[in-house]
Amino acid sequence: MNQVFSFHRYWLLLKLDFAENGKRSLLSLAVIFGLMLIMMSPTIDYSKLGFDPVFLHALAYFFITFCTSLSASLVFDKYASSTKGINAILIPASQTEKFLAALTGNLAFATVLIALFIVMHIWFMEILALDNKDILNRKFNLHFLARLVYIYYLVQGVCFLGSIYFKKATYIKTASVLVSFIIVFSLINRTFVRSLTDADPAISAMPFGQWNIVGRNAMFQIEYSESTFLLIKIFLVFFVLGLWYIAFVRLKEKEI
Amino acid sequence: MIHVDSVSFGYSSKKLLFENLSVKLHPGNIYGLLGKNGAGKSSLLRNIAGLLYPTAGKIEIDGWEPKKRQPSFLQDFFLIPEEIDLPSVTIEKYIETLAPFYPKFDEVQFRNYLGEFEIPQGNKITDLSYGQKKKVLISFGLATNTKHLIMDEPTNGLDIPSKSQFRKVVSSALDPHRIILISTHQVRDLDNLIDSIIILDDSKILVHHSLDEISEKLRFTTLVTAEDDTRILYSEPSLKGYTVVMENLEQEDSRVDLERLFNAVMNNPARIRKIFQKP
Repeated sequence: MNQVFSFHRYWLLLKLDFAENGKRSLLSLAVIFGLMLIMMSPTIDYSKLGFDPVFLHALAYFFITFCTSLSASLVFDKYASSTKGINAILIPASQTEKFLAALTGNLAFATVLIALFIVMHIWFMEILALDNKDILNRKFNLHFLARLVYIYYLVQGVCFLGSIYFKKATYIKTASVLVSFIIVFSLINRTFVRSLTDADPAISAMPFGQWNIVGRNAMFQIEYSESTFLLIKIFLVFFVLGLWYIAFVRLKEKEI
Repeated sequence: MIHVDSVSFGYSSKKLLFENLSVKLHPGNIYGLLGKNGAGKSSLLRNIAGLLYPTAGKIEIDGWEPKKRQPSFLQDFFLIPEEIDLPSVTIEKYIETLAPFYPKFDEVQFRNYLGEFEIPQGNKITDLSYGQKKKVLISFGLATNTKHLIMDEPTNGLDIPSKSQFRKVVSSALDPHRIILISTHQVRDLDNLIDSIIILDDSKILVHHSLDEISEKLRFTTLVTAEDDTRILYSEPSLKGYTVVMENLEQEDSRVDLERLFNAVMNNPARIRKIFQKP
């Protein structure tokens, strides 16, 4: 018998997960979809209330990122308590199958939401453009959408790891670590850029992003070369995969 | 066979809960693991289950290392923990989703056990009382027909009639290929159920013998007086005089009283060890 992976056991784990959490996940998806519709709907004229529709689309993105991160931070919560954890560890399936089943369930939830968001954004912006063609200029372009999708899965990966790493107050602890890391990393990046440019206040730069140089009448952007940027993108993808892998190692080492 | 070989374990490296512990458990037996609160019974069971990792030594169960948590090992191993948490599904759904993981699971057997325990069917498991939930899990564990069945304080939360049902059901589930290990501090609950006893105290196994060996070496009886008899290991006053545990030098038959045996072992560990070392 294969001790690492069997489709049969993997399928049984998915069925078990769906029996335990399926209703809750479907209900959550329905509620989130309803709220996304309210926020992004082109039929509701928010401009009368002083809200920019594109701003509300961005807000919907943050909302689904929050929901997905919350859901990811609960994936391994059963391993935090000894009563549930014993059942979970002793189910006759390999650690790989248990990990992949948990990841599949969470990724399915996350992917449905981000796919809905992209489809709704593109479609609803075109509907909004029937009344106001200028709004199409503010539609999220493919590059920007790709960044949004990456950040979305990065947050999912961090929270997924946090859910096995921390036993209590998982979400708060993971969010604190993530925010602290972003602040420290941004400060280091800023210090580095300033040190290279003689502390010119007109230069700003995001980690892994282009440098923006603001002059009196113009703004310049210094971008990475295509090959460098490709390497950065590959690194960033592997970073998320690395987060998942660390979660897998933690699951294997879990003691109750 | 369950082979615990020179195993040490502690939650901190400075204070070990047990050190250099060795024990072999053979199929066809129901073992009772006894010990005071905090003696390390549950930790030993969790080490055997691969939920905790020994700091030294090795545990092997039919050639499998529990800490690797491999599916073939887990298919033949079932642990009923002291505190239980069952999903919010009906018993039918529970069977449908969990039973396929255990190739030797017998649904008819499971429903018979549920009948013995008088569990109402059709409701969600979470709607049942704590004792009923425990009985569902005990029934499921027995019906998996795994070679190794470990129960940690299984009678906690069971009412008095259920405890005798428990003894009946468990004794009927033993077969020559199966090892059943039951840990408890309520020794009376294991009366007439176990055939071997392991007493754990102060990081060591004080006793690991079959009840036959124990009744051969020790005598459980009532005496009018308990003074000036060097054979007595433990005594307590009773209506007819003193119930005692004493050395069985005359090779008389008596029924092992688990509670008094436990007290005798706790009071005289060195002497007990000496008695059992005698040929």
